[in-house]
Amino acid sequence: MVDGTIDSDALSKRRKFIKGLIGFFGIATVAGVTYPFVRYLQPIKQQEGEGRVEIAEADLPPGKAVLINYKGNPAVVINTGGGYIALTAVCPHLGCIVKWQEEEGILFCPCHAGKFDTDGNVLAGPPPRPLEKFPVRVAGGKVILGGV
Amino acid sequence: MFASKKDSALLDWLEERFTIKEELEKNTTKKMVPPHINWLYCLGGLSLTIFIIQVVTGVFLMMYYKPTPELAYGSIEFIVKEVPYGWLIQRVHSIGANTMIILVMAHMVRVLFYNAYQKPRELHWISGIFLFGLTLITSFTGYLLPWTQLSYWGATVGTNMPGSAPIIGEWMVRMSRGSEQVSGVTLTRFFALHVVVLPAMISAFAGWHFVMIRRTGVAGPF
Ligand code: HEM
Ligand code: FES
Repeated sequence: MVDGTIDSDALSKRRKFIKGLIGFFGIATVAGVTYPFVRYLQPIKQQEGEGRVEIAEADLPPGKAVLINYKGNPAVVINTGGGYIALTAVCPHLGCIVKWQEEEGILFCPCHAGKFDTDGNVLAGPPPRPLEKFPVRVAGGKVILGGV
Repeated sequence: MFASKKDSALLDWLEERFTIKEELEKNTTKKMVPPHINWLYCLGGLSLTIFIIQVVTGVFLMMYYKPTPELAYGSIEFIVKEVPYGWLIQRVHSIGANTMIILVMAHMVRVLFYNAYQKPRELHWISGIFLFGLTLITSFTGYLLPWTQLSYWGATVGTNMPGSAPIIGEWMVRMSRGSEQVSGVTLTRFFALHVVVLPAMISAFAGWHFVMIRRTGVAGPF
């Protein structure tokens, strides 16, 4: 260096350094460009609020059920006569929507004939686990799911 | 045709600029195929033919199709019932999709039983695996587009499948749907994949496939 020439050792070190630098910034650039595109494709939490759903008691007489959208997923709220029960309506087998059968008092999945009782337990068919249950409460003539 | 003495003025004009006649002759009219080939060697070319038919009929369908939950089914109904020859375009596209899968699989089986995937043709096979997967995914995404009960539940079950993968499974399900359940977001997502992304990828992989095949020639005689 003193006489103006660069010895080859320093040169190869410098090359290595530059390569590393280019590699680092290259990866950072690719990651920075990819990130917004991945985020773009992610589900958007639209109007889910705190996930509170209210149903007027008058709309849910004994023996009846309603299908609602709870935190982005379909859920079914049943008036069993003995109280209100809320369950996910998404079948744990392959994801079809289960339907309330008033006469039999069960939930039925039309895709592969899965059957569930009002606690979500599997009675028949291929579903591998029970339907998830959500807490419900009644206040001011309304059946309420979620929220505080 | 290109070998005839009286060639068209256009060909002569092109010939002067980039020797097109020579290239055409070398690659088409005077290209020798080995004597051992049989009809089964047509299966790859037939897959390509169907793919081209799918692209053409697909573009025509796209001129009336509307990718929203409210309008999708009605727009297909309109194509089939009201648009002149719409029934033909729609039928050819949906039967073509099934036929393409059958042909691609038959082609794969041909290659398998002829041992034509072996060295030096591993890359033909690997590009082929991509083509097979892309063909299936293209059909799967297209199946949702009419937004019928069958397509809705087909998409639900299909997008559930990656869910059984460990760790990233749930994430893949959500990313493929764009929502918790199959919805209008899924429809537009599948539409973009079906009409642009996947056909472009098939074209690219088919290009690679064909370059490889030209390099080695077909396998055999055995
Ligand atoms: C879109 C789908 C495909 C198209 C358009 C296509 C097209 C072709 C064409 C035109 C050929 C020339 C010989 C022939 O037709 O038999 C060929 C050969 C070949 N293809 Fe495909 N192909 C497709 C999918 C596949 C798949 C799924 C595989 C296997 C995984 C595959 C593996 C091969 C191999 C190994 C050869 C070389 C055969 C030989 O040299 O005899 N291809 N392909
Ligand atoms: S999806 Fe419900 S039983 Fe199969």
